[in-house]
Amino acid sequence: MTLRKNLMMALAAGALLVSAAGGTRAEDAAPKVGGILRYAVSDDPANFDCHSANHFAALMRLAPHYSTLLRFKPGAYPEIEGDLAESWQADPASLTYTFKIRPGVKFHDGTDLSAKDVATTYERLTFPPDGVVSERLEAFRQIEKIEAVDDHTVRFKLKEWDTSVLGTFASPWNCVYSAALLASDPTYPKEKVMGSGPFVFSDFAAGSVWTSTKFDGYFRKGQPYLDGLESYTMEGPAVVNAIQAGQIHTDFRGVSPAGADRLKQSLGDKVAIESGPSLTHFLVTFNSEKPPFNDERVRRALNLAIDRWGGAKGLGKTTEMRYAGGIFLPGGQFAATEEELNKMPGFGTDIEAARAEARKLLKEAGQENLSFDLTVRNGPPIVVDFGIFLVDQWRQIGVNARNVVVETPPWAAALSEGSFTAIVDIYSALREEPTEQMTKYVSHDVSARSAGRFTDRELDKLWHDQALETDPAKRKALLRAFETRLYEKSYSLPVVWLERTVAMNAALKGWTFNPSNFLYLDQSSTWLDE
Amino acid sequence: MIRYLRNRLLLAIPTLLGVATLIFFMLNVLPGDTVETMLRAEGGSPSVELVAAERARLGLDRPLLVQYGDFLTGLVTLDLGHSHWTGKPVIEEVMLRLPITLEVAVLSMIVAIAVAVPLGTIAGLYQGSSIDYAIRIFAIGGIALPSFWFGMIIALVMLWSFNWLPPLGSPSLMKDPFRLLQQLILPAIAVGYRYSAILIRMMRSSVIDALHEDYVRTARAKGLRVARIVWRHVVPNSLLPTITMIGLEFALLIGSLVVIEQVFSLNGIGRLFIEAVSRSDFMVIQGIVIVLTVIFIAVNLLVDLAYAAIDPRIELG
Amino acid sequence: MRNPFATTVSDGLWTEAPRHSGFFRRYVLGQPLGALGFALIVAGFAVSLLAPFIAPYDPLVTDYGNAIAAPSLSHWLGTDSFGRDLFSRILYGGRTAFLIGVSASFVGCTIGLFVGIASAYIRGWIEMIIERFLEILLAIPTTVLALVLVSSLGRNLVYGIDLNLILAIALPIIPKMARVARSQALTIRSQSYIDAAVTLGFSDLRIIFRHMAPNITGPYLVLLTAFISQAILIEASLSYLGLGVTEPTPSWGLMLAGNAFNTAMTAPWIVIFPGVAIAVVVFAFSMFGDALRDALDPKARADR
Repeated sequence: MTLRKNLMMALAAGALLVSAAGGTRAEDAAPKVGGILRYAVSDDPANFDCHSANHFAALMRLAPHYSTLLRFKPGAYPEIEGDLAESWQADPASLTYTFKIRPGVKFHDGTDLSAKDVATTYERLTFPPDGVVSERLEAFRQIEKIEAVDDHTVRFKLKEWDTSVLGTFASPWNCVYSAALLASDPTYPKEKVMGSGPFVFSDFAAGSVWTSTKFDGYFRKGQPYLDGLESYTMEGPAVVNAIQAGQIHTDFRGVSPAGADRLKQSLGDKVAIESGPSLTHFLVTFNSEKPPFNDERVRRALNLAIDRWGGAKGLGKTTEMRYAGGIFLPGGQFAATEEELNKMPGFGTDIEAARAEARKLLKEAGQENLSFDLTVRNGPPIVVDFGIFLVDQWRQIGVNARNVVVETPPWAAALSEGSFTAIVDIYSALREEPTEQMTKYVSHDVSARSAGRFTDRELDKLWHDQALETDPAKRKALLRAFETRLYEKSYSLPVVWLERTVAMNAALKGWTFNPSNFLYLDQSSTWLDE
Repeated sequence: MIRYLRNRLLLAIPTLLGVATLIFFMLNVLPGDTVETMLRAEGGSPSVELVAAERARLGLDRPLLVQYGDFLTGLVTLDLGHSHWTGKPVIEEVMLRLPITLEVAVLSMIVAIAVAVPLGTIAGLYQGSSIDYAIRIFAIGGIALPSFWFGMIIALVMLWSFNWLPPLGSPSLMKDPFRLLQQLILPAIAVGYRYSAILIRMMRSSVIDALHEDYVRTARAKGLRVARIVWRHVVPNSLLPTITMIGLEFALLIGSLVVIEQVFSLNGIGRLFIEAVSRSDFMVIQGIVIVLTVIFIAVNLLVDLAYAAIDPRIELG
Repeated sequence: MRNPFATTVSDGLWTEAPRHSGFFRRYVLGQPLGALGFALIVAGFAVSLLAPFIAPYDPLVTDYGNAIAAPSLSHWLGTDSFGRDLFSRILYGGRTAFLIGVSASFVGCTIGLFVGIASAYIRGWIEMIIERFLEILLAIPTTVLALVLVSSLGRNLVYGIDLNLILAIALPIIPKMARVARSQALTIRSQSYIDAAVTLGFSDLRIIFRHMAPNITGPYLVLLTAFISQAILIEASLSYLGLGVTEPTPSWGLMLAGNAFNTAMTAPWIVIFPGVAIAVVVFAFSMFGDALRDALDPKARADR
């Protein structure tokens, strides 16, 4: 079956499961008020600052307490609507975005939220002062100036007209802080949780449970429906156990296929399971500065050796690694069609021919008995499984790659210092936005995210151009050109995309299933049918 | 007595200092550290300047000896530094989680003693019989089965048969002891089984030895009832070596706890330790080792005191 | 029911060897569990050495089409989530367990032996330093110490074997062996014939080897065996935690880690067999160690 058919089937199956389990969208039934939502989170946050956090576990706890300028519309992914913004105007001619802030929004401490708070927050994100970490700094590179025109209007002036910026305003990471508190202590968000979101922070017992209660003054009348939230720090089989025993309602990150099967078997229609492609993919990066990977032929040979289609089919049976794909979400609006992909190196359908060519390339490059270390991060376990898969694939062309599994700190160090030969990496995108997603695959000096240690100005130019291209067809052509060149040069190879399976107690409704780990975590529209 | 205590405590200090120094220097060999992980966890990409700035802020760029000096002065004031991961004081992080670990440890000991003393006594009294055999097989199981595996199996069995799991959250001992008991009983059984196996063998052989002692024969010759002999003489005398064993095996208990806390997702210092190891959070690792050593020394001291209290013939020197 | 106060001498398995003659009667019939342990150990060693020849499949070869298959004629113990044959992985896991367990115990006990003897024989401040150091190491629980070492040393793979892991497990064993060796050495040292040998002018080394060694060999062997089982357990625990042996090297502890227990609800064989394997090996070494101790030093009671 082709990839597209596979995806359609998966989505259809997912939808069937949802309806069979009795799960409904928020619009179908009237939400009931009350109840405490209990969910699992895999880790504790290092601190409480959204702007410096990068782990979805942190966002799962922080998002309910904050509002953002725009947000993704519940029930209608990937549509964007205003959160704090009532309306907005885009003016390409003057390179500005102007937002009208809702009146009457209050912070949890009773103070009013005005345009000044929004402006100060974005100043902090775009031009972080000393001691403040703005983790996704490159997302704000196009912002030149931020201005609070009056109490309810904020204006952003851009350097270039890059439409991806609009999505940045909707990013859940960009929690709006209180300007007054920031003035007294610019690092206050690390210790104190105080926002304008649907829930008020109650207590956090480190390693154990984070509690919050409903904010009665929330600007969306009637919301939130829930009385409060309790999130428990736990991961692995313990999560599935807890869902099965009814101790928690869900884990928004998802469960493994085996876990989902187990829940289906034991709970039947008391559990609702939704599956679909996730915005997380695994890749392998070569160090293009060091031999043997400074030779393009060697890199491309290893690319050709990987049986992505067959591999995804096999791996997908027992793990979440289900979809073969390039740098864009398979089946998504920006991805290449299967026919287009089949023409690109590494994505062909005839694996034997590809592997024969790989061996030929290795011979040409004089690397027939190639042997090297593949640095693999020790955790989550599925990453280690991915390393095993890669080594297995390369063994088929006579290459002896050794899995070197290391803890996260040395892995992170290797990645940033460039002291690896080949390294496995994960990329979880926030949303489908090529400008953001391609930052993983451009030159090393252009994007901090890219670890490949290469400089390729053609790729950089294609990236830059597609960001400014407004015609969708022309943009797609640029994306295809980027991909073709990337797979040809094989600096960094996307291999497999994950599937997301979220298992929820059937009583939990109103949450929007989406491919990202980061969206719809504020629980403003979720409710319990109990 | 007081003098004995004082001497023991004084002796403990150089040991503690030694442990602290050893751990400090052992940990500072590792390349790559917490700061990198913190800023990178899933998909983030900090710039080199950012990492350097954070390291400077945490004081990690100072010479090693300076950091060591700081560390030692901190020890005196019970300041174990700050976690590289959360920035909170290590002592705070540890104290938050220590109660649960201690509660499981004590509960495991209670389970072990409650099982070992009667079973060991019976096995000793009826040596060679089929009951003795059965008890010994039971004890062998405890030693051979890995406790973390056993723990998972019993958890799965409970889930499968009764759809029951230990409750979540952090019930406090004072306010909600029953819920706490529910949370800790499975891990306590898993660890306690192993602990009890060692104690059973000890108890059994002490009972066998005691039965051959002259005073028992004398008592019997005098015509005293069997049960009374057992209760009044055999058991108390057999308890002594068993109690020493409890202290000696405490280290084994801690080791098992570290793994069991992972299995049952308990919010104790064992789990904190494992997390700190995967994040290379040296301060927390150091702090926990020191705290565990203190506990270990304290337990051994208690055992010696209990020993002396039970056997008046023993003089504390 | 036996009268507990009957005066016949017991012939319990754990306390005394009955008065039989001949090797077989004395050591096998007299100590059936110990003999069983020994047999299992020998079998285990044989299997580990011969694993490449006996294992029906390569433990690293994946077969996604056949993942999580139940035990059958083609896969005696079934397959794991990668389709790798479980029986082969258990065999190779045994290899890892024995390799690491025996190496760690051997390294730890041997170093401990020398350190212990040295500290008893070399008087003065060196002895004090060694004593202090041993006390420090003994104050830290074994698993914790091993974890600290794992954390600080990282991984060091040589021909697929993690040397640092072996060191990490060996270190806590050193002071335990040293303590016993030291007390034995002190006792022997105080015996007069050593002084006689010194007076007669024999060299120090000769004294150590000729007179101390034979008396220490017994406890050394007993502890060596005991620590092999402890080392194997520690390796299994560390691998379970993800901090010991890592994929793709087969290890019993590693087979129990991660998502294994999720899969176990529908495919219990995945977690039952590795656990049983660990239990059997630990049991074998414990029983054999006990029997060994009783045989070498019948005066010592079955306490540990």
